[in-house]
Amino acid sequence: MSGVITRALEFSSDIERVWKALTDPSEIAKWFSDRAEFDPTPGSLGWLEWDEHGRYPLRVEAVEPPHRISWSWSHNPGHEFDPENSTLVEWTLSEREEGGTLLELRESGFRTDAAYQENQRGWTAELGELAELLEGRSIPGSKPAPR
Amino acid sequence: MSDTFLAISDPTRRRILNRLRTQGSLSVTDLSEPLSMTRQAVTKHLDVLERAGLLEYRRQGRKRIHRLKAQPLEDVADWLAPYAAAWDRRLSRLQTHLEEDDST
Repeated sequence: MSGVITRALEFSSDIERVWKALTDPSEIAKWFSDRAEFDPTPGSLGWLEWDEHGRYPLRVEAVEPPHRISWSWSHNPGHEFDPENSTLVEWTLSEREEGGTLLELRESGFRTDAAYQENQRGWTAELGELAELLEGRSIPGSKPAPR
Repeated sequence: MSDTFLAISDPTRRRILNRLRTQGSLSVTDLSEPLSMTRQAVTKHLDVLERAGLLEYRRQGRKRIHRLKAQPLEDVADWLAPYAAAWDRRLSRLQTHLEEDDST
């Protein structure tokens, strides 16, 4: 469905190894962010930090080792976690019969309402490009009439 | 596009969109029946969808026949594309990380 991103990926590594890569902060810092504070306990607050983009606060939502973990992250780096301005990232891991692990990702909760757009000032460079894309997209057909 | 997000945020409206997608053109009565909702309640949802540009209708006698317009949904998908691309990059790095780890 629209408004949701889903991905599925197969790994030759076993499920415990993939679980560790997703939940151990020193592992997360090897493929996701530059630094991470992350405690795989429901309700715990953490963050993902990039030199370039700043620190993104997150809240761990649900944990079922080694099969499911989900967290919400706010899109306002450098601020407290804000559930009103966040998306939910859900990871599902399953063991493949032929060996290895199937990893499924789902990110949902994207919004573009007014409150959210006010927060856009704090978004990263990457999302700045996105805003440009949006503006570029809205120009055809919606050009204000000359006064 | 915030209209589109509002429109698809409601489960009833998502069901309406799905039915229009799979079954083509439908009247308010057709749409109301499986939802066990009044025609008035369904009409309100249809108005939200119409404002978001997600459906169009034509008159057939006294009936309004509704049809899905998918373009706003495609715009949402385009809007999400950079986020999706970011995940593709991260997952690719995860794969590389795990493979390097396996081979050592």
